[in-house]
Amino acid sequence: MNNNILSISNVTVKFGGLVALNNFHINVRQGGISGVIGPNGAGKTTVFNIITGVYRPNSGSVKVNDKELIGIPTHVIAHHKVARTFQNIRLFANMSVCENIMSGACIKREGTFLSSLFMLPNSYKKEKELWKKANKLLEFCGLEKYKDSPAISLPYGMQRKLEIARSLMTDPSLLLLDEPAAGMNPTEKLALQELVKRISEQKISVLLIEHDMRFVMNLCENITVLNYGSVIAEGPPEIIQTNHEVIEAYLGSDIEDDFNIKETLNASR
Amino acid sequence: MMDFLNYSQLPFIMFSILAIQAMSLQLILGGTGLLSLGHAAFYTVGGYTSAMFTVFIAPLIGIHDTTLLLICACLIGMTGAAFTGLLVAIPCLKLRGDYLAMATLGVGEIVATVFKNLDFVGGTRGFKDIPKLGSPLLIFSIMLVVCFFIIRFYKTNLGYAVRATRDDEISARSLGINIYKTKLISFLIGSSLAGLAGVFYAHTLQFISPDEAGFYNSVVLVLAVVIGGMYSVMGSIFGAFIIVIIPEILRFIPQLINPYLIFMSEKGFLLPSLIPVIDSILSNRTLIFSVLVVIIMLLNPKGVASLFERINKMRKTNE
Repeated sequence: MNNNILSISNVTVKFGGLVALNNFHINVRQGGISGVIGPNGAGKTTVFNIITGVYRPNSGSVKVNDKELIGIPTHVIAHHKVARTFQNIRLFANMSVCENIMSGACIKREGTFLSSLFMLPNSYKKEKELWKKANKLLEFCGLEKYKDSPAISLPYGMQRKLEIARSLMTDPSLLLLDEPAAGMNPTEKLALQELVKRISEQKISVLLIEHDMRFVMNLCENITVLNYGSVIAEGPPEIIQTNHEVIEAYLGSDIEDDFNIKETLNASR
Repeated sequence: MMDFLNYSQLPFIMFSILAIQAMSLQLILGGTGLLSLGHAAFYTVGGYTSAMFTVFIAPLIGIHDTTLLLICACLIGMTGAAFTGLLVAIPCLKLRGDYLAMATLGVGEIVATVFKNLDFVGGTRGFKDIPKLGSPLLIFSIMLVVCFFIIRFYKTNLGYAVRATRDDEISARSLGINIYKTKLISFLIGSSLAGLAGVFYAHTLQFISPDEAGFYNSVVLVLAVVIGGMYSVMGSIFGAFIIVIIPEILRFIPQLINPYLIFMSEKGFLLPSLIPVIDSILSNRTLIFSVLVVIIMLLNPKGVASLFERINKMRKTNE
């Protein structure tokens, strides 16, 4: 019995002639934070889409808690305690912040339609508990003061946090964050970093995609680097930082500073 | 006074029935985000099926008690409408946005054609001599019950699922919501409530014609929902109120304005030959009503419900 919550092995995804993922593999430890990095178009979001069942891979296996997920429709995968956020924020725009979070509890309220329609005591009690939990999450993500305002009126960073809060409401054991820090300023990034750390302290495993190297290196205990759909490196941040192939894949962008190339060069001399 | 009561009875009934219909469409259009342009079809089906029951079947079984008859008629009308809704929904809900609107547009015409060709319910002449059941107050209280039901519905898990589906299907799915099932359920509830409105329509007017299912009525329903504000249940009631009451009020406008016109022409501000022209424009109620609707939509594109929100916000900022 291994303690991996997510294990993907030998997954290949092809769109026509384009190979989006080639023999991809990743393991996420229970309660750990892992990251997937890579240049644009390397197939990072495709990884999330095969975990959540949006795409069906041509071959390979995706296991969450030792249960095979391939072939299961997206809405059932949420029942296996997998939650995700999106690269381009997808909130329920016409609902308030509270309602956005409560709609994350749809799975838990399943089958209580008639009793909650007539406000029967048992479902009333359950709903009260859920509201309590939603309020706790609001506080956890620092959204209390926006409680009743419409979701689209929130500032950008808060919308990201609301999306995370909504996916936490489903009580996930694996949380997939797709570029959570994109478009945030340094202060917001730091706050988000703290938030992700606190989430993983609650025994929730996190798998994140991010372009901000400092963010990834500070958070993740294990990093997988993708380029053109193939894994070119994996391991703890220190090893990734010194890996030549990774630096090569990122050359031409201004990421070099973050990799501390100078240091590694000095060390090799 | 009695005259006024007698006169106001029919608009009152029509308002209640239209409000039930508008709320049932609000569930589908504002709640789930499905633009259905054939909603009047379900209401016609509800009216016809319940009328067929009360005219042909009820005497055979021997139901003469009016209360029992009304309850049975309601149940049968709602089931008939829900069944039609199911038949429409299963193929059509795979479509999105405009395509769904086009598909449902056909449904109204199909239903109208079917009833036009059924001779035992009167064919094109319509179904006459339906027994009179229900009172204005009953219909009004049913409307309140429907309103309460839909408001409560939005608070249940299905209500949240429905609204989540409307706003973003992809993230709704990632939260574990079965989108197709959710849409189907909301369509079923919406069409059966429309059927309920049809039952009362058929049994208070004692007549129902196949033309009820046509395009015009469906558009009036959409109008009622949009005027009131897409996302508010109360707004739909208000929209129905405007659609029924304003044409009735406009009836009196030419009489009210005529003395002033004559007064103005005497003072020389107005050519006397223009008076009949203005009179005829003002007495064209449909025209005035249409212009009013355009003005309402221009002033307040989010509907009447947003007006209340704006007032609330203003009050808050003043404090």
